[in-house]
Amino acid sequence: MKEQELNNKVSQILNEFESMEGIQPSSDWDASLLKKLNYSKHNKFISSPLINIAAVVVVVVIINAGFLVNLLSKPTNESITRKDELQIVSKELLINPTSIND
Amino acid sequence: MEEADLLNDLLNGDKASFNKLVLRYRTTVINTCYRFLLDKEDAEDVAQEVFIEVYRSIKSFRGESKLSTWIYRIAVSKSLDELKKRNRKKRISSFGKSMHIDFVTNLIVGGKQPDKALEEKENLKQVMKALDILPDSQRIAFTLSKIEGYTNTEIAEIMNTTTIAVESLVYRAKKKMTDELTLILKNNN
Repeated sequence: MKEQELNNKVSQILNEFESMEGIQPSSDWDASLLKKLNYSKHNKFISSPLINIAAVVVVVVIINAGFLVNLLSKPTNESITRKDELQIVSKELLINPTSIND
Repeated sequence: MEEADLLNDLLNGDKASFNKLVLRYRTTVINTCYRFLLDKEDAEDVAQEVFIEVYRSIKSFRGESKLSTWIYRIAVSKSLDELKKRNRKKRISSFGKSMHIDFVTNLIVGGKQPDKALEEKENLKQVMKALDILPDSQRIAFTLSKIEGYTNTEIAEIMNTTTIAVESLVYRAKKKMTDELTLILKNNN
């Protein structure tokens, strides 16, 4: 394509775009908007950011509560006999426990 | 009804005034979205999203700009979001891209003489490619300047800039579009 021809073609394309006619809304556009608006009103409560934050807080609280319950339900004070105590100490001191019993 | 009265009624929760607002601005909003998206169906959908957003956030409108400017700003922002969504999809599937352009151009040139329609379809494809390379500010200024009813002052208000800046953006956009279209046509031959 020659330079002049190319320039003409470019300006023709641009002119076509610039003089593009506007559009009119479809006949059902208003009804469709109303439907979407009603749907959005209905879901406004669910999609509210405050509700989302509250939901996250509730989940975090439930997880923490579960963790605490789990922790508290485990026996903490295990009864340690004198023999067990001696075995622990002997292990730390690398003494044969049987020799202590003797 | 004056814009200020309409706004007052809207802030007082008057439902009828919202219908009046839609009736007053819907054509401009739809055409604004259409100019960006070049697809009637998408433009109508996005325009509906614009009015839903207006309905939801009218209470937060502080009146720093005209009500119409605020609405058109939402329309521009939603249209750009839609274009970004499209581009993400295009990146995922280049096949989808060509399919989309064909679909869009079929819609736009539908009902015209076959030869003329085919040529316009091809031309529109090139314009869409050229528009895609423009930075957002140039694309907004250029696109709005081609819509009937937008003055440079109004575009400047929408873009939060000066009329001189708008003129410069439109000029640069047109130059870039011309260069890009020349390149596209050269590569096609």
